[in-house]
Amino acid sequence: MTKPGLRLAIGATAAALLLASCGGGAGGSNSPSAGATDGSGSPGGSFTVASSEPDHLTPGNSWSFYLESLMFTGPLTIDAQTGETRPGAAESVTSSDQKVWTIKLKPGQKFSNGEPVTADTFVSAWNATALGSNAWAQNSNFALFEGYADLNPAQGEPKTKSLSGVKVIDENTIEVTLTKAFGLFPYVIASYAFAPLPKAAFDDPKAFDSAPIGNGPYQIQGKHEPNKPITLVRNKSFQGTAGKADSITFKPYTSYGTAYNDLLAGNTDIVYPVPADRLGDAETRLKGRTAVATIPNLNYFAFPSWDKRFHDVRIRQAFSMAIDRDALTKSILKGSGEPARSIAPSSAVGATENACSACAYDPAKAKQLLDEAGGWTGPLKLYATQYETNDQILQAVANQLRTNLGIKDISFETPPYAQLDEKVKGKKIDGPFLYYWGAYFPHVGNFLQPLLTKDGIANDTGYTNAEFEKLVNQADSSPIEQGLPLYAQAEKLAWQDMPIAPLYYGRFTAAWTKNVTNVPVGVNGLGDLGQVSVVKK
Amino acid sequence: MSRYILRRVLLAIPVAIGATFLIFLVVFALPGDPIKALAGGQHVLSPSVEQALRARYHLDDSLPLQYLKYMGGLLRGDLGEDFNGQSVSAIIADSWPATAKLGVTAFVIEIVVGIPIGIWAGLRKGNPVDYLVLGATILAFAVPIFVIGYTTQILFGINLGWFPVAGIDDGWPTSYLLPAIVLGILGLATTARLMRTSLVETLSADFIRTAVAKGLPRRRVIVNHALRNSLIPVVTYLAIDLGGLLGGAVIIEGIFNIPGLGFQIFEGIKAQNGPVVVGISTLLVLIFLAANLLVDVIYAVLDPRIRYD
Repeated sequence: MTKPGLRLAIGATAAALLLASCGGGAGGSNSPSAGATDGSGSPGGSFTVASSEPDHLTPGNSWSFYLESLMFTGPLTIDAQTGETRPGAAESVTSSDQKVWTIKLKPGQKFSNGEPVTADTFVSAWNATALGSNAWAQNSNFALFEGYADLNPAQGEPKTKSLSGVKVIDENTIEVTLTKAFGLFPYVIASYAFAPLPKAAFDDPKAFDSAPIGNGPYQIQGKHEPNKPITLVRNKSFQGTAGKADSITFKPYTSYGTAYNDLLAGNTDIVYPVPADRLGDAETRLKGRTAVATIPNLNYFAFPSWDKRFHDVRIRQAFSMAIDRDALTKSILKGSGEPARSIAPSSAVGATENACSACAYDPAKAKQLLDEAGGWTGPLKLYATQYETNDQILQAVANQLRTNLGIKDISFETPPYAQLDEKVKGKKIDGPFLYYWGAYFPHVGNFLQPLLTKDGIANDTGYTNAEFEKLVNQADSSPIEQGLPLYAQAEKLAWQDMPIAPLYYGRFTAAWTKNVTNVPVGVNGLGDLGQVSVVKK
Repeated sequence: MSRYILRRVLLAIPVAIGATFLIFLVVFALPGDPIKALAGGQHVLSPSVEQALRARYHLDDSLPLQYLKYMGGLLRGDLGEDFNGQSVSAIIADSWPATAKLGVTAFVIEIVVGIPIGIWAGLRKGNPVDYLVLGATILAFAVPIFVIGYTTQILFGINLGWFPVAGIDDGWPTSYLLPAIVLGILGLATTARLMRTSLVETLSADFIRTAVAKGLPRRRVIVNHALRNSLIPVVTYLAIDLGGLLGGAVIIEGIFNIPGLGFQIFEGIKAQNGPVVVGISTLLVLIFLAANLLVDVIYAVLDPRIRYD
């Protein structure tokens, strides 16, 4: 098993800067990414975090990861450093066949209003989220549960409102049956999306959505009003590791550039992510009060399988080998990207480094492969979504393809995501498109399955390979440890077909003021904000 | 005079209906699926959720039917809900005060600073003062607004600490001053240039020569005769500009983190959140119509000839 090492920073220089600052920071024996609780700063105080306006606060219907993860705790959580699961509201999640799972809750837990957290409070929350007609954001997380199809019929109203695969065994035990064996199930439920809901959430859903009552280390003070800051205070009923600060305020910003300026003036304590064009500034001004999160994701070129010109694997390999990923990340992305030569970055459990041999820059070989495959005639079009650096990236890639492969007529297009996706899903796109995959959990399995299997939710290329499929299925149905070599084998097989060309892993940087220490930057981005200590003045 | 105003108001009704329909058409006929955009391209919604959301927001209906349903709601004073389930009226009510404070402050700066500068330059045509004003205003036109915004934010907010960097925590006027100056700078430059040119033109008109010839004091000639007449184009510009300022300033509100209408409409367009965009745009159309009405009335007051058309 490849132990997921923590990648500190992208370039050697950046890493050196960070390391230097860790050793010599005033009063900060803390390393920005070690997340160790070294006791610098006793509990208490308050700090602010720059945020964007949350859509909803009911966990099953929300994308607001940081707020929800503080107010609610799912059965398991993910360790910010190792990327492995650890107990949350449950003390254990076990299975003998990876299909039927037993979740044992820690006994005696309470919501912030004193209501006991029981198996029923979990199950009612899960049923509400899994019910398609409720239209809750986190619905797709339940796709593997037995009975999901009945709650989400292709047409008409669902006939039942509860998942047949979820059974309450006793007050603290839940049994979950999946539609097929899935060894990574503990990862799936290591999310606020699987948090329990108290009765109040169903009595008055609207009121609950602006003033939720949860089982996490913090609770909301008052209620959320649009575009106003949200303050969380320590939840006294919480029995796990208590949050360090007395209160955390989430301040909504319309742009992260503005949030960063406000941080420089000392008006907000933590900004994540720092906009790419301010990274250099942050490095010089903040002197070590920055860290790079290792949140697992992949930016890749997908080759449309319905376009005949890309049918020959040598063409796809030639494209991939003609792109100088190091130069690209260095000149355009600066600190916000790292060259990708595998399906997943090393922060994902089970990732293999440099698994994709055709991801190495080799212009001579690329030209040779292209010529062997009959060369390229006619125009070539590249696509990406309308997003920050994407125009520059396409331009640079186009230049490299022109120089290295001799393709003359290259144009590109960067429409908004919704428009591009319509073209992709309708199989109308006529060239490689740059897409982004952000893993749901830090495991290589959550790259291989969604991106490259036939039914993968992010398989937009139409790639299929029976042997690969079999290997991934086998890996999915194995216990976590046994699955790892199978995933590695499957990845190796996929690179023989090169259905996509990995380009870079997006890297997001957190910055903070002298007011706080112990900012636990890691696999979850900002990770557990409850561990941040406030410096006493 | 009242008949004149009534005529203008009646004219505004078909304009309002036509404009809202066009906005509706443009927003809802945009390519791309708003439900897909809702998930931001980063998240995946399950098909059943997409289907439920489409039904909830009438996205399955034909465009004319959607428009009729929307107008039906509008007549009952219901602007509908956005795709996150927030009431659009509440969004507008929440963000409008910030935009109004910012817009009015910028407007006052435009008038109080712009008009005197214009008069000053106009009265000293060809002097170094005139060229100085010309140069300064050209500079204001030439530098993009976001450059001015970020530069002043870093210079006066972070480095000098004279103004708050962003947000409206310090209330009016402290929090609004710097963004209002930046927002008003373009209008200020236009006002000054317009005032100058108009004054210079008026000063060479026949009736001024007559006034001077009949021995009126210079002060009286300028204030009563020249200024009153040269204000007409300036007032037109200012009233229309007020409509623009009250409609929210997308860039400035973004840079200075002011949660106003401009920000909401920007986010709405980005997320293809049709109800928000149509709701706010309709409000903007009404504001513009009101501003235009104001121009017409002020015209009539300034220039009696127009009243009797």
